[in-house]
Amino acid sequence: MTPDQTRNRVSYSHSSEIISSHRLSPDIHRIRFDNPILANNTLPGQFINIKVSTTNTPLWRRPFSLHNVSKEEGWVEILFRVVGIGTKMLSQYRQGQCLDILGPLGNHFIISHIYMHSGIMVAGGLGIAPFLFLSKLLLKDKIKPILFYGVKTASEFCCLDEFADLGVSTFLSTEDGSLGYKGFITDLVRDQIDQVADKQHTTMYACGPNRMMNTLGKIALAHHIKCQVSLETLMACGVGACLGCGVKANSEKLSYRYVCKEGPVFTISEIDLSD
Amino acid sequence: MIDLSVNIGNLKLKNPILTASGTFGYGEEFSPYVDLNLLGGIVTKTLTLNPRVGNPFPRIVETSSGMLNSIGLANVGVGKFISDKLPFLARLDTKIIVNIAGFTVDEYVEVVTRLEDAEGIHAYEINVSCPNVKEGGLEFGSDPTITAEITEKIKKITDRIVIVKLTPNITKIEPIALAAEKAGADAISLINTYVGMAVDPYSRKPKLARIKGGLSGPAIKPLALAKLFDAAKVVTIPLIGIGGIMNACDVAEFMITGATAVEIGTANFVDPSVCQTIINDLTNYCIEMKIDRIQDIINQLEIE
Ligand SMILES: Cc1cc2nc3c(=O)[nH]c(=O)nc-3n(C[C@H](O)[C@H](O)[C@H](O)COP(=O)(O)OP(=O)(O)OC[C@H]3O[C@@H](n4cnc5c(N)ncnc54)[C@H](O)[C@@H]3O)c2cc1C
Ligand SMILES: Cc1cc2nc3c(=O)[nH]c(=O)nc-3n(C[C@H](O)[C@H](O)[C@H](O)COP(=O)(O)O)c2cc1C
Ligand code: FES
Repeated sequence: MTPDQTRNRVSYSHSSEIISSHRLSPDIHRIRFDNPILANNTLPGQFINIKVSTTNTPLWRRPFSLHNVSKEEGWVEILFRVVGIGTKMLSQYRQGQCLDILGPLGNHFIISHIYMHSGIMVAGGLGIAPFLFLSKLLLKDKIKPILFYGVKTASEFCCLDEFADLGVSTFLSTEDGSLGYKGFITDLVRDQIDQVADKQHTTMYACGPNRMMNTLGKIALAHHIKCQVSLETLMACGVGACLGCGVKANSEKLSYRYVCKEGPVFTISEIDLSD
Repeated sequence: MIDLSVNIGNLKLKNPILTASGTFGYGEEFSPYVDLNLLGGIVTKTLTLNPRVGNPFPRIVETSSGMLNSIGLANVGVGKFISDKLPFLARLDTKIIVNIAGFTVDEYVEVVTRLEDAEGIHAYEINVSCPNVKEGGLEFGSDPTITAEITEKIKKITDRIVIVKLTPNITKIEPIALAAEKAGADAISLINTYVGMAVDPYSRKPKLARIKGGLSGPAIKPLALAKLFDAAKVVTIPLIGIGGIMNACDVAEFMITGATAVEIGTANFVDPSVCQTIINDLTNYCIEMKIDRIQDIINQLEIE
């Protein structure tokens, strides 16, 4: 199956109670919502669209990747950075309050039991969000999870303990050299790719700035590694109606792919991230 | 039993709630969230003769209680609509209103001609907000003569209900509304979006790739009501109110001001099941206000 064929068929709108809300660093937060239906019907790479205010300010919902999910306990988590009005409001909600959540939305990362021995996840900054959920699923399928994770400076790393507890092999980079490799995560991937995985039996999963994913796509192509990327765009609706969330398709004639409906996960060859 | 039905000419709607063009896809997108059969009707995304990919991105930006869009009439084109989208719509127990546009008068006529052979369409909504290529990009809808010409030519080739959708980007709406009525329009829907713009103060760049876009959402509701009020004074054909409607009370405001039905636009983005909620709440509004038939509030504005 291509990511396109897996787009979700079932989606719900629910008032969900906040089980916990934690500040992990000055601007990064994690919220856990009670929502058994969502927890039992979602896969890594999908997202939810949250109404952060009951008024018209801000008007649109805000999209977030599913960061961590427990089917057994019936909760889902998001991990987010405060960048503007909506995320600021979200960070101020407390345990016991309820928010309107729409989801699961979009398609998901594809895991192939047939050929995969390992899965290489490459995260830039908050692009780490979906990879805790993905790591758990890879492990369940007895596929070795490998994480490349780059940030600007060491204090921005999140969830390193959780990845360590799961036994995920982790490669870190910081732009200022405060922890791990000094430089871009894509350079570290390029350095290590020959050692870490059997290329015929792996898939690369990427989430982060478009420039990072564009570079990774080239590395993956050069090494004949399959590569799936998760994209972010502005979204007014999240359900394929507004046509505001397009990215350029990789095709001769100008055309667009819509991230909320046809994505957010694409195989790198489907899209053109060059500008 | 509360009667929510209303009539647009000889088209009977089970309730006054229609979806606004460009905010409800081709209907199917919303089937997980709304029982489409409960709607008064579905107005589809504007169709043009040929498929259009639309404008470059960013095409949308959030503004105070509203949003700007410059989608650029991205659509599948009339052929693919008939083969791929209409069969789903035609099976529904609701009225299907196909919104159409063209870049020349002839193109409007040709789109309707193509649709005339297809079954399952109850009405056309004519989007006259397209830039008129021949006349140098000015909107058709800002010119009463051309609005009348398009309406007349379409009326000649169809027995289906013809609704003309007006732009608010004019000083006075009355001459255009009158022109559409005289040319034979069965109804008028108003309004399309207001031209607007947003700038990023840090990068100094416009927030939309096409610089200007159309403003919609709660921000435009008072403006839309005023335009409806003006149109209601001069025409006798049914009016369909559009602009910033978020809930059943907003619907009542539009109907009291003169709308026979309304279209819900941007609200669908905020809550994809909003139309169903509004229909339920409209019944509750009637119960609370001791109204048996929603029709009875149309044009009942009380002015001292
Ligand atoms: C599918 C998807 C999954 C996402 N997952 C996560 C996640 O797991 N964690 C997380 O922290 N964020 C995630 N995001 C991004 C998140 O939705 C935005 O950060 C959030 O909507 C910003 O809202 P705000 O009101 O705080 O910012 P605003 O006040 O709306 O904007 C603040 C600034 O951020 C920019 N901005 C807003 N939204 C985006 C966006 N989508 N992409 C790029 N720039 C943007 C604006 O242009 C502006 O400069 C995701 C986005 C998408 C589309
Ligand atoms: C993203 C978007 C796309 C739209 N596309 C169309 C369109 O294709 N044709 C049309 O006649 N109106 C279009 N409209 C205008 C709406 O149908 C409606 O007239 C307008 O948004 C005002 O209503 P609202 O405030 O409830 O959204 C569009 C509006 C939005 C927000
Ligand atoms: S966000 Fe509206 S179409 Fe994707």
